[in-house]
Amino acid sequence: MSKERKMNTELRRTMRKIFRNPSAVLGFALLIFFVIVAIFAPLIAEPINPMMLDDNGNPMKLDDPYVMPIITWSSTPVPPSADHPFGMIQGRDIFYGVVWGTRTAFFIGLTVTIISTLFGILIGSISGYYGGWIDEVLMRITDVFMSIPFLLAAMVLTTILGNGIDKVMIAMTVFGWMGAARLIRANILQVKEEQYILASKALGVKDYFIIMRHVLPNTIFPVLIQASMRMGSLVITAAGLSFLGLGAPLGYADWGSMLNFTRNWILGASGSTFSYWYAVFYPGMAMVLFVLAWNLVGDALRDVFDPRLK
Amino acid sequence: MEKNPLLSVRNLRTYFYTEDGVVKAVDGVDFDVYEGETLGIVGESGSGKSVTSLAILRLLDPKGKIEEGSEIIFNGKNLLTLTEDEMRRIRGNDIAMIFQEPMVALNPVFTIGDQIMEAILLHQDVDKKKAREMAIDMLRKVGIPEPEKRIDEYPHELSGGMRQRAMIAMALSCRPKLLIADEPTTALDVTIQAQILELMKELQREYGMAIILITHDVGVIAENADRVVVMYGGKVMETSDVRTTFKTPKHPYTWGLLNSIPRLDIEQERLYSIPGMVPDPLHFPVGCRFSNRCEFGEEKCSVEMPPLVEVESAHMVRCFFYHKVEQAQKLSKAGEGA
Amino acid sequence: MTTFIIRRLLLLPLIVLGVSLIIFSLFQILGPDKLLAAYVNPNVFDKLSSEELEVLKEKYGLTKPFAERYGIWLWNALKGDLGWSQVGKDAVLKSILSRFPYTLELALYALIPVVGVGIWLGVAAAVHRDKFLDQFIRIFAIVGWSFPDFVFGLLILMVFYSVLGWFPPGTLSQWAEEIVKSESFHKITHLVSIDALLNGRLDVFWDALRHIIGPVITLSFLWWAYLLRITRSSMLEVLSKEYVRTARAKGVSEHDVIHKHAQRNAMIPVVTVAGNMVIGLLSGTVIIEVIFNRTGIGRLAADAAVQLDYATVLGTTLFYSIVLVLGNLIIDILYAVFDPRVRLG
Repeated sequence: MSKERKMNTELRRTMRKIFRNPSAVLGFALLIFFVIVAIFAPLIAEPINPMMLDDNGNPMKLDDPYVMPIITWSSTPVPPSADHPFGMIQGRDIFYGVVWGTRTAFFIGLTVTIISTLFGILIGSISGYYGGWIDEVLMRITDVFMSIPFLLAAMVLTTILGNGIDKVMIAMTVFGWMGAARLIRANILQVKEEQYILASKALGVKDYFIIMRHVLPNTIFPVLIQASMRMGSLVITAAGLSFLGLGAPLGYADWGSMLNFTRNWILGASGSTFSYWYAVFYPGMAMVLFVLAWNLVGDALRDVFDPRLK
Repeated sequence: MEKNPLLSVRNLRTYFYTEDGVVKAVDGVDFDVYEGETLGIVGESGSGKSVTSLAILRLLDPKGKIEEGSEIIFNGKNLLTLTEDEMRRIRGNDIAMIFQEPMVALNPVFTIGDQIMEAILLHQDVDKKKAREMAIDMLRKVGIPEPEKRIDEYPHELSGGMRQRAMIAMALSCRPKLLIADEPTTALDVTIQAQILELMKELQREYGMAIILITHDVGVIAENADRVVVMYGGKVMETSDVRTTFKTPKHPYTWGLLNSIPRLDIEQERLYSIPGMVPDPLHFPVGCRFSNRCEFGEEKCSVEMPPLVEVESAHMVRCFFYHKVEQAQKLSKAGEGA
Repeated sequence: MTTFIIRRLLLLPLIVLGVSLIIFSLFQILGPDKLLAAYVNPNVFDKLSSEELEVLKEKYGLTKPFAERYGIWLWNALKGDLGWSQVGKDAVLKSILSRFPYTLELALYALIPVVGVGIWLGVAAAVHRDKFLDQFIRIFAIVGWSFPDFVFGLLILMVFYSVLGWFPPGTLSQWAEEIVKSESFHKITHLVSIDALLNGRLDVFWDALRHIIGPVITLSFLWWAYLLRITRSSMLEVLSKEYVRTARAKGVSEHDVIHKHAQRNAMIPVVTVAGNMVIGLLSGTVIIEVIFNRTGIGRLAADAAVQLDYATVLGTTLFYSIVLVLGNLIIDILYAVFDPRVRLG
């Protein structure tokens, strides 16, 4: 059997393994659904403001589609109707926010995961490869960063930096690299002992290449699995900050800040508040399904690549 | 030896229902074990020998099923018809078992004393203090020095050989009538292997128990067993007393196994090895399961499964062309003589 | 073991120092003007002239170099003075200590069901692998694990407060609060519900319970799911181990095989991930105290962060870090207790 064909059957086996598991299928299906929503957001929820007309009498195009237009002056929540299937809150269309919020969620989740993972890989590789006092210092710094509860740390830094999703992302990256760093370091320490590293060192290959060529391919899967599992929790944290009024600015198309709107209505007078269910339900469900999708995908990847952890 | 057997296995079939299909791991196996004797079961991995031993104690994992029509008669009772509770009273008490890897077969979070005493307390009407004394006695008997101290140690604190001794102490603590030893020495160093086998022989003489010794190592069988069952592909290929099988093997597989042992007494250019590999149990050949690797086979072999026939007194062989093996054996003997 | 504990405790000041240094330097991003805002009443702040601002900056030492200011803070902190909390309207340390019992009460009430139910369900799922019960528990777990705590909290509030009126937000009702504050109410444990029982005030106890159930359900829901997932996978791995078969071969009953031989081993990896749970529960208290409008350290920290009250932020963050480090230490000790192969030293 040629090497290529072997790879192919291996890949097919893996795919078959993934798709035989219904929860993995559900995870991928949900994820694809969200990707489609994110890509076609401008078609699904047109970024126009019906309250403002341009010179030709058509509704005006939004300068920034991520700022939800105010489309009604009624400040109390408006229940779902044919025009606004998810209802309205604080003068804004919930459907619009849920659709464009998908883009925000992907943007925040992917950016933070990628940057913090890369940073973690960097720190972890340096620490694990060189060892000695470099390792000691870097790991103690990691310990310190790890002993601040993530949400609290992100909250403090976001407030200091000011409102805006870029600030949330910076805050979460600064306090989010330690997991990847530790994982990579542990794996490198393990691989380092193995023969082929010693061999290539004897040949005088540069350190940098040794790390790149030998260690990373061996450790990349655990890191990827960890990253996909983290996507969900990062999106939750970002939304949590917005919910506390710290992240995305008021009226930004973000699931967390839409829930922030509902806070006052829920905590307000007892009795009638259940009639505002849609204001919690739709953004809340979008978030739950998004996180669920990533968790299911992470689970599926882990089952396939690291059955030991099942 | 014409008394009633202690254990009779009749038409034992054990199938595993996996996602890829039904694996017939054991497919119609018969053998007897008599009191006080050692029966060796030999075969490569995948031959079904370990599954057979687990089936006797009904310890297969949930995917494995013992099929209808199988019988395992122990002391006149069919074990397959007992309730789970009745079966539990037999396990560890009448039939005990030791496994290949004492490191993984002993529970790492309990002391060896705890684990031996547990077996004693389960099956004997004694209090904890007495059980502890019995456990210490047992440890001394299997040759563990300072048993009063060692009894409170955890498995990871003992060496491999000591662990297997502790395992044997645990298995024999209730004086079973039958001991099933599944590759008891495979994981151990050669010198320790010999010690453990010697210990088992001694204890067998003392307690008069029967042993089923399961191994892939023909040499271990030759030195320790009274009779031997050769298994391949979930079926018995040949069975007789050890001397007969080893002197005049009649099945091509047995012949191949014996020829693949390195010998010091004659000069060999290179070691014989049976061609090919053990087939995937999902895709056994249609006829004789050994047909695709057999050097003596003919067309008939790949379409029809040969029956197990008695070719001499108490010597059963599953092969159409066993006389070819006889010929080959004679030739090689003659070659040695010259 | 003792040397291990002492060594880890000696590391604690180092970590506290590191944490305070990180938080302190983060606040430097703000610059002296914004830092000053934390000291001055916002209504007055806007009307101040630039000269007056300079005087105030001088007064609060905001113009001094970073190292000096950190040194001053550290020196005062060592003397037990963490500064004045704008949010807590009291000294920072006092504000923290007075709120700690409320958060502790919440965490304790959440932790017990999380550990009990989570492990129990995880074991049950593993034992009935791929059967209906397992499938059901797994779906429950993965969905639960995907629920953001504040979404779940809002739903709980909506159903149990708005619709049913059972579990109101807050810490205590007005009348109960007055009783608790009165002289005749003895504060023994400082945990309101326990103290109410000890004082024989069943009505106060009941009131405290009504207020804490919602937050407890919210806080524990996510971590039930987490713990049962870990327990299940760890239990599955252990059940396939040879020593489990050995136990069966000895004639051990299925109940003992599972709950004695397997479960004891399965707890080892569960203990190692418990660190994540401690962090999670601590972070969880922040959001949950805000949603349910409860008194507690999490709420104090959140309010302080929003108002850039950095003395309070520093204080609460340090407090959380200390709890976290101590929590991890306890977990490491438990780890050694569960696994005789682990030697601490």
